[in-house]
Amino acid sequence: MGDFISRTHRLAPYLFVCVALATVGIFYERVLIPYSLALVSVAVLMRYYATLSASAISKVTATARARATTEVADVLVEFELRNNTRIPVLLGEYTLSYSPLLKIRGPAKAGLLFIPPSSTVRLVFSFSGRVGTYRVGPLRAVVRDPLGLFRSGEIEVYGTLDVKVLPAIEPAVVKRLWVATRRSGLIRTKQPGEGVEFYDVREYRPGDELRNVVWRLYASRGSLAVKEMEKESFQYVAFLIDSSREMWVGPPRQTPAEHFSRIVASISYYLCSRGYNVSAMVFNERGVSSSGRPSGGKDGLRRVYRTLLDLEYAEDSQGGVGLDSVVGRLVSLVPRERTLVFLFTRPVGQAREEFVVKLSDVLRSKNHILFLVTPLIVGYETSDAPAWARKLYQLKLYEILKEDLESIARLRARGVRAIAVDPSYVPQRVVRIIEELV
Amino acid sequence: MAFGLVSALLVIGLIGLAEEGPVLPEVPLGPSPLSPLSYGALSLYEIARSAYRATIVLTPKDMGEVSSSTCLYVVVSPTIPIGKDRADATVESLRRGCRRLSVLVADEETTSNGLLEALNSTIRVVGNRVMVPVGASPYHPKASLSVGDGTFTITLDLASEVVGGTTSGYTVGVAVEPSGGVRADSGSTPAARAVPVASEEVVSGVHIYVLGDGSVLLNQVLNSGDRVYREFARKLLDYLCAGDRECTVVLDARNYASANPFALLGGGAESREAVVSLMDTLYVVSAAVLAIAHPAVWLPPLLESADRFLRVAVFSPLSYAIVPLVALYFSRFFYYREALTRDKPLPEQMEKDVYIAADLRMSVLRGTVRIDAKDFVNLYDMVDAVMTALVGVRLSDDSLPGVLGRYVGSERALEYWKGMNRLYRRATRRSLWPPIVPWRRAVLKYLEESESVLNSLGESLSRAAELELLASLRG
Repeated sequence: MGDFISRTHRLAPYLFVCVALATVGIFYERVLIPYSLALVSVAVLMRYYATLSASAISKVTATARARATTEVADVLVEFELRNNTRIPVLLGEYTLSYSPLLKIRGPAKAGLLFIPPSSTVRLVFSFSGRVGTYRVGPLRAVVRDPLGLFRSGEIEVYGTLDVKVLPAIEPAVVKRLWVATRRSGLIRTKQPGEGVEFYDVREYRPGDELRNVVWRLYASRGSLAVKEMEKESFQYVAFLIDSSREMWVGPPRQTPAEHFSRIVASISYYLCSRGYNVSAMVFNERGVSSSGRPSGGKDGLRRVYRTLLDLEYAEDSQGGVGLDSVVGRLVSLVPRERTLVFLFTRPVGQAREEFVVKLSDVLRSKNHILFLVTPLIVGYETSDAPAWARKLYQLKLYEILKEDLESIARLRARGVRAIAVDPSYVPQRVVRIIEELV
Repeated sequence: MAFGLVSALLVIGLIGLAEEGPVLPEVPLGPSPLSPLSYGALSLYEIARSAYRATIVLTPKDMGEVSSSTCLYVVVSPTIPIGKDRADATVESLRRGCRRLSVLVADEETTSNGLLEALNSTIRVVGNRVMVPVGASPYHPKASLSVGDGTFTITLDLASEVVGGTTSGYTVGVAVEPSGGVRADSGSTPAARAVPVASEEVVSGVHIYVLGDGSVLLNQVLNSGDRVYREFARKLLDYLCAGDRECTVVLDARNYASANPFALLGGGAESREAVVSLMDTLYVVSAAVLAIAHPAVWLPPLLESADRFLRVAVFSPLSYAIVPLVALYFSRFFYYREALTRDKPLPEQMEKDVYIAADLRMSVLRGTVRIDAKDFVNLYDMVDAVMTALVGVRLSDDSLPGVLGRYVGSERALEYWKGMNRLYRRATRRSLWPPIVPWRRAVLKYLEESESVLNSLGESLSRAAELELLASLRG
């Protein structure tokens, strides 16, 4: 324990005063000598107290609990600290570490800690909700004596806790999706056309294919009739969200990663309620997380939401995203049936462009369709700038905007269906742009 | 920390002991039941304790606490005469505490007669000496002693004649006064006769046995290796306890003097009488060592010496310089034992928002961003893209003022169109006019103006990206 307690820079001047008093006492006023000895005794007592306090706080048992729902509600993290000894922790100082993207609402992220003997205290921290996975902790503390002459080393009272927050569903958007998705073919069309689902039987018209003639009816009625198939719609939809660091550009809740997760959550909610099969995949510098093969109903939706919880800003990861593993993983999860795949990423840089083209080609070869939804990063970057500064800021970022637009143009030239969005767009706009492209 | 605590407690304990004062162990002299010396009677106490309850009386209070069905009060050669008052008090305490009382007196002097008188006994120790007419040890007669139904033949030491009561033991010899004496080979030797040396009687229910020689019950005799003495002592106790297993043997230690161990080691007469063997010497030495080890003996002189030393050493003129330096030198061992830390508050978690151009953002918000001709070129391109997307006419086109004039007025549209193109040519160095352009002011001015013009068209520069994208997609 002796190595655990260190003296502070205040001890030297304190002892200097003691020595000065003693010296004056020796030479001039003997009555000062006891005062000097008393001050030295106080220093010894402070050292002893610091040791006791450090021992007490190192024996504190801590539990933690997090309450998080969607991004519209605050995230509450509660630490319960129990002092198992009979020594009060009087002058403890704590500090809480957490993911830098989280915003604490209260109380202070650092402060003083007082734990009476054989008692429990609670620290409840409130953060603004943000979609994804965030780290809260460790909770560290130090103790000092009342005079600040000695200080303990940093003690980790509690380690790290992961907090996961769901994206919010926008009911108004879901309602409008009902109309938009009908037109785009994302649901059953109830229209005659090319497809495999039976729609109706009608009279033969010149030009109808003979293979569609219902010979059974001809035999019974004597007139030619053909079966009509329902216009094919996509039954499987997959969402692929890039959660790498550059997708977290912008103010809280207005970053592309969060925006897209909201879009995916809203669309998935609608599609699952309509009986479609959906899946989601999230990738960043740390790896890939997926909900598995597309599935429908509540189970499918639950899996998609669980995957969206894995959205994470990988602050301390070295290296880039393993794009090849993303392609491989997606290809293994997509079913044989025709699937509509939405890829949410910013394809700037050759590696990313090649990744998008490769993915598009691979999916096309298997009769799937890929839509690239890319954020115009300038819009996200400037969304929270004050009005007087926004135009100038956008002007200064014009080069970046042009880069984004050129990248989209290159990808379109290579056969990729690309959609660009900024924070002012809502999901139905995404769908409308798809309609314009189809 | 533990060492410091223990040291502090040790010092407190020493001071407390010193305050209490020394407990100087006195060495009991004579046949005291407390004395382990050769002439003590501790062995008799141990023999009694091995068979019965035995207690040693040190104070009248101890005597008053004696209580038993059967008591045997034993007195062996008391060196302090038992006075009448003490004898009466002793007998009263014993009669009160004991249902049945026996008394054993083994004494070659008359110091016990006061007790016998208090018991109303007729037995008395004469106080003379019985000599053996012939032999090298004239004062060591052989005696035949009856104890109950047994008889013991033992050699006595300095035995005295006992008169009164019923004789229960005798020796053949000549009884002489202690001061004088008749040598065995003297010409006028009186005739030897049977001299009673032990007697017993029962008076008022008290069984009294008196032996005219206390030496046979001393440590050196009982531990001599001659078992007959131990058997005799044991038999005496059994006889006088009358077979009661609950008998309490009371040995009185009040009748003996004590001496300072240092005095005994001094070699005086007292020492010669008490310290007769090596074991006696070791016992006295250990008592002396215990006395010396007590803090009350050495602590005050030690502190006094230290005080004198400090007065001389610390408060002398030379020490005014030496002592602080020495203290400073040694203090570093304690000071530097602890690691030093610059005490700062714990680091707080920094929150951040991610921006591609964080520095640029900061400079824009602070108003310190550098604006130059390149920015004007970008502004021109943005407006050009929006105009193309909105009205299908490029910003460089001559027909644009006419189109814009419908929304913002022809004069303003023309001025705006001319200014934008003129500065664009200057920024792209297609023209060198105007020669000096404050680009910061120019860009900010036309930024506002462009926004105003586009607002008139129902659009905004902030939609430039979207519009440009749509234009490129359609194109």
